[in-house]
Amino acid sequence: MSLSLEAIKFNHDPSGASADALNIRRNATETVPVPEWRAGVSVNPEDSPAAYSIEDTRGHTLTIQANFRLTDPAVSTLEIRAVDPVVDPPGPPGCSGWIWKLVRALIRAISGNVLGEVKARHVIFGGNGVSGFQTFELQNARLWEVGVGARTTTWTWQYRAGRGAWTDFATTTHRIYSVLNVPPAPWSQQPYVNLNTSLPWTEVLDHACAWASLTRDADGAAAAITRRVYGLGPSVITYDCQGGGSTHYALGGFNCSAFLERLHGGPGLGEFVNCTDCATILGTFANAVGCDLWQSRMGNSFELNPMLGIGSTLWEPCCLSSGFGWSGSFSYHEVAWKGACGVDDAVFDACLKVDGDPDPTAAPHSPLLPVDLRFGNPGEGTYRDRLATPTGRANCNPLPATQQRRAVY
Amino acid sequence: MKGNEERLAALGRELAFGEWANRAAAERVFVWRFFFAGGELPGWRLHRAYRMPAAGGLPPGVQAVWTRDDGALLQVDAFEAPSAAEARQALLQIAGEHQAVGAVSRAPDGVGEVAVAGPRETTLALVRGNLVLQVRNAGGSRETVRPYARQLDALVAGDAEALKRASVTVRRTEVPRDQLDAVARRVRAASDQAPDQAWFRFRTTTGEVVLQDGRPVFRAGAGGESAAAGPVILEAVRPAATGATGLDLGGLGLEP
Repeated sequence: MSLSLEAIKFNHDPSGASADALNIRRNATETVPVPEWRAGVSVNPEDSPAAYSIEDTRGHTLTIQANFRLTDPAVSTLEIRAVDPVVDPPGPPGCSGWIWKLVRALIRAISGNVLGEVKARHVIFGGNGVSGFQTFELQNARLWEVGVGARTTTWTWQYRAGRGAWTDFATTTHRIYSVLNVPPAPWSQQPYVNLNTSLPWTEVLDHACAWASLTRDADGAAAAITRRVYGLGPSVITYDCQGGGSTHYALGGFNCSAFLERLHGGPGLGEFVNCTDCATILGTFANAVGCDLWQSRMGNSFELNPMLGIGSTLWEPCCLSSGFGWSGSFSYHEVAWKGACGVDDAVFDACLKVDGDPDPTAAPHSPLLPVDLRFGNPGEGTYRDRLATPTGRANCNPLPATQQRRAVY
Repeated sequence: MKGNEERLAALGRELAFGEWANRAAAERVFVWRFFFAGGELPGWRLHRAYRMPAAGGLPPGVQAVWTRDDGALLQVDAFEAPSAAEARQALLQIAGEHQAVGAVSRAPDGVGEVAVAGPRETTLALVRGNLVLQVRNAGGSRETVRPYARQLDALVAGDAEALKRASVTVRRTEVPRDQLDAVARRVRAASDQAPDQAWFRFRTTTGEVVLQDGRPVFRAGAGGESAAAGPVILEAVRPAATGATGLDLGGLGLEP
């Protein structure tokens, strides 16, 4: 008897996200075809990607669909399942055994199987030996315990006839992204068509899930991504002092394709970014893992306290000593912002570090990356006071009418 | 861009936007389906060009990155506005996408119909007809970008020397104004079949060509020019680098 696994669908219901995977694509030009796993086509985990919303699937039984082919006409029914082939070997005894277990648990949380196993069920084969797509429930899934991540799930597929022993017949590997919620704009789930470039991109999820790995809430994920975006300076991106702080990647829409190329070591659109670029990168990548951030501005024309612009190690009002005519003021500034993008809402700023000590106007400086920091009113010691000088704060006001989520291309 | 009106109004005053917002050039140029083929900037290599969708109040266009042997990068954004007036509005918006106070000023004449420049002309944005070109250092260099902006502007304007330098061929035909709609439909159909093989330039001295419902149409000026006021010049600009073989403009007088 020869049984083969033909294909697996993770996203078998494009209209829902509570029991199956999200609608995704690879990038601006490439789609993720369903079935995601196909015999002879899918070799590596990344050949078979699927993304799940932790919040939307919570309390639901996850399901997949699989299609099989059987060459023995004498057999019409088989019981089929898939198990996780990774077995934790027994560790050493005593204290080192506990450490061993902790390390193993951490490795599994970061990179291991989150979908659990495919629960056994009977599959009936038609006269042509093909089962058609059959729905399987998943059991022992850990999606809701491990937070955001991009992990590999490996399954060993097994069958048996009657109550006999299980026989292995296939092994599949899958890249499974777990995100906090269905990604909001600029990402969308509908329409689920090839032309919809706002379906979440796996090339964005590869980075965003790694940056926000193991986080379990939106603020934690946004904070982690803020740190990682700021940390791209100066080797990948740096503040555009010479160009007057002009927008490069997020002019109109967001040239996410170029930014990804830059992340992968290519030229992209070059090294220079400004606040709009940073807010857009941060907001777009954070929202890909289910955060709910806006890109929004404050202004207009306000004097700056000393800061560390992205890529810079020099405390000064932005680019003041660069020799490119900077006056120590911003005409506007843009950040990733929560809620209504107002005074009482928190900002995430991947473009600069402010002085976090009691006097942000002068040395000594205590670098503080603004993550989940309330914008605030003058004199409250929050984001506004740390960014703008005492005289500049009156002109540094939220401009919530500018809030947007730039479309990706 | 919504919410930036106050700041852009102030910037417009600084740049005397009111003086040039609607000032028509002697010859009105309308560029359609512009793209970069690779030969436009001698000494530079076109690394990649991206199609930019219309977004954030800016028209659609092409965003290109050029590399040079010394490691320098040049970013060129070309926005294709529906009309010359909207191109100038887009130029103001682009000028407003600088965080530094006073970073942008009117560039001296000699490039574009109107242009603005950033510090030491390391960035320069210009308008030629309905096209907005922004040229910027993107790494590895602090030089002025004016020479490159001028080269691209001359190419768009149809300067013979620039066309030769960029290895492009131009075929020209005269289109009676009352036939422009039919000709534009045919050019669009041919270009849809063979995209990025040629871009098109319309020239008029009275009235103007604008984009309406996705195709160029003639719009009379305040003087209400009649159909007898003279033809529109239509040019197909074919960069040699494209190999341009599939574009069928048969019968329009634009054949190679």
